[in-house]
Amino acid sequence: MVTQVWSKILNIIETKNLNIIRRNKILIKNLTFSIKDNQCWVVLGRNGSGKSSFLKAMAGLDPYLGEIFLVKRNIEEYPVKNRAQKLGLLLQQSAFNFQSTVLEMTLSGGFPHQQTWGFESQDDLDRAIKSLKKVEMSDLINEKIESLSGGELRRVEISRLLHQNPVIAMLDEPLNNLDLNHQIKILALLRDKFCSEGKSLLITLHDINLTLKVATHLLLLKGNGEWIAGQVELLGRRKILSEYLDCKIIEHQTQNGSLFTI
Amino acid sequence: MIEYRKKKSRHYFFLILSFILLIISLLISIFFGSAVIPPVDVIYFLFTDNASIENKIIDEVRLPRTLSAFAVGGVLALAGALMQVLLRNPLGDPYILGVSGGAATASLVGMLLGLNALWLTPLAFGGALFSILLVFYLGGQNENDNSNRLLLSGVIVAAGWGSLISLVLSIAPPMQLPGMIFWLIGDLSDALSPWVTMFVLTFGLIGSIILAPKLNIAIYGFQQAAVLGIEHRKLQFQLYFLASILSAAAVSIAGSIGFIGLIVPHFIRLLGCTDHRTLLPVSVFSGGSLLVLADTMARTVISPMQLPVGIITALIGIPIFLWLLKFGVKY
Repeated sequence: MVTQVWSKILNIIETKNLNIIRRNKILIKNLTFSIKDNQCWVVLGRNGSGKSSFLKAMAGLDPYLGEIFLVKRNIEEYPVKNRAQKLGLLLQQSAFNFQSTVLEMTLSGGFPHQQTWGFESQDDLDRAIKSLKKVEMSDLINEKIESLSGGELRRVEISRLLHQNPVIAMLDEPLNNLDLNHQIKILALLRDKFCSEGKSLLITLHDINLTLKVATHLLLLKGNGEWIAGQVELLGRRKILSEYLDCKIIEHQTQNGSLFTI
Repeated sequence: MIEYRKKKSRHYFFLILSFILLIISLLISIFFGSAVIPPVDVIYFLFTDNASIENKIIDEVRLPRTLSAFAVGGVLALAGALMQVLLRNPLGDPYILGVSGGAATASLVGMLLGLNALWLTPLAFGGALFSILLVFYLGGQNENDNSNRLLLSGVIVAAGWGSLISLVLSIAPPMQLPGMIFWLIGDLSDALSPWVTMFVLTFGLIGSIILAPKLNIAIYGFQQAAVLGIEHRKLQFQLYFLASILSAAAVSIAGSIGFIGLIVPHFIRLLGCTDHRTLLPVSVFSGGSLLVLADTMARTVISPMQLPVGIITALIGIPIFLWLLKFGVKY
């Protein structure tokens, strides 16, 4: 039984010599690593160290050099709609100027799975409402998007990603604008849903303590091309974090493990 | 949940309501004109043929003019709805990318050179296309999810055309001025063959309805659309192509008739019809109705003289637009 489980481990994302260059500056140099299912990766780094560019490159939005494989196939070979069935990205900022409601926004996550000209089925509706329940937004399903607070909007966007139900969910600072209560709940929700068999999770965060709570693996970016990737037990150390985040970090031992402050 | 279902049925309600509005407007337009013909006779003449003057007025003047007004209004509203998604700005307008300026400049130069009137429509179309290509070249290749460069290029190019138009007007012989000014205001009196515009409208409506589900995603931003599996560059190009062809056709047939393309789709969005699968046909029907009614007013208010319909749409459109800005949604 055990051997069978091991043989099922799946490379969800694999990069080979990935280079990210912005404004003539090399941010990530020759990144070669892989994300397997049942893993939750957190990307840490200072502002401008290439976290967002990295996620956007993986989603095919931003240019990169090198190769990225999504479930063993080069992402450039995917028709965009097929790619969107497997890979979801929550952008750091959203932009819209048009009328729309909470439910419509969540339903839009179902687009990659729909026929091109189909209306939403009852099943789509049920699943969208379930996703909204999970982020505690189901009381406001007919609310206009522009009337939402920043945190409410963030949760609707996360419910859209849940509704999209990709194999790998990538979230760029998902906790922006969320209160403490929801930060914990959303992280637990994401981990439950995507850090599971056949799926994986990749997020960028700034809070080290939350990171250590949720991550199974870390990718640290220095912003000058240097990077380090590996298990959180190996990299979640004061010295390494201080070096990569360019900040003097203090470690406290508590009953629940380490607590980091600055 | 139940409310969501209600909302869906409301979309069909919009579709049916706007269609009824269209039929009523078409009938009003055919019943009224500078010659007084009783409605019963109008219907009789529509379906029969005789040599009377009244029959000729209905079949050869009012009917084609009414259909032209519908087609041009529909094309303008559709182009406006598409431009708004393309520019990611609910204040988008078919003329915002300098289309009308290019057409007007080409036509006025044609008039100045004394070209035959037959040349003016193709000339206007050429001018509009040139302006579209120029703006796309200047503002189109943006790497990021940024429509502002396109918008800004359009506004600047339009300002350039504006000054060229002033130049032509200031050096034109006085005899030609009234004709030029009439062209600039936008009017349907020369648009007697509606079939070209009808064809453009049908082509545009089918093309854009095919894109409608993608437009529903694109309102959340083109990057978000790309994440959800839409080739956003291709979609932007398709939108640009459709909106431009529609605007160029409308402006070369009827001159620049303001506010229909801006007000109609905007207003329909505000009423809560946001799904583009219904928003686009509803815009066509409503824009068509509005121009048909405005044109009926233009023909009858001071008959037998005619007003350019552009004046009427502006007089109706400006107060509505200001009201929307003041009391409508916040931007």
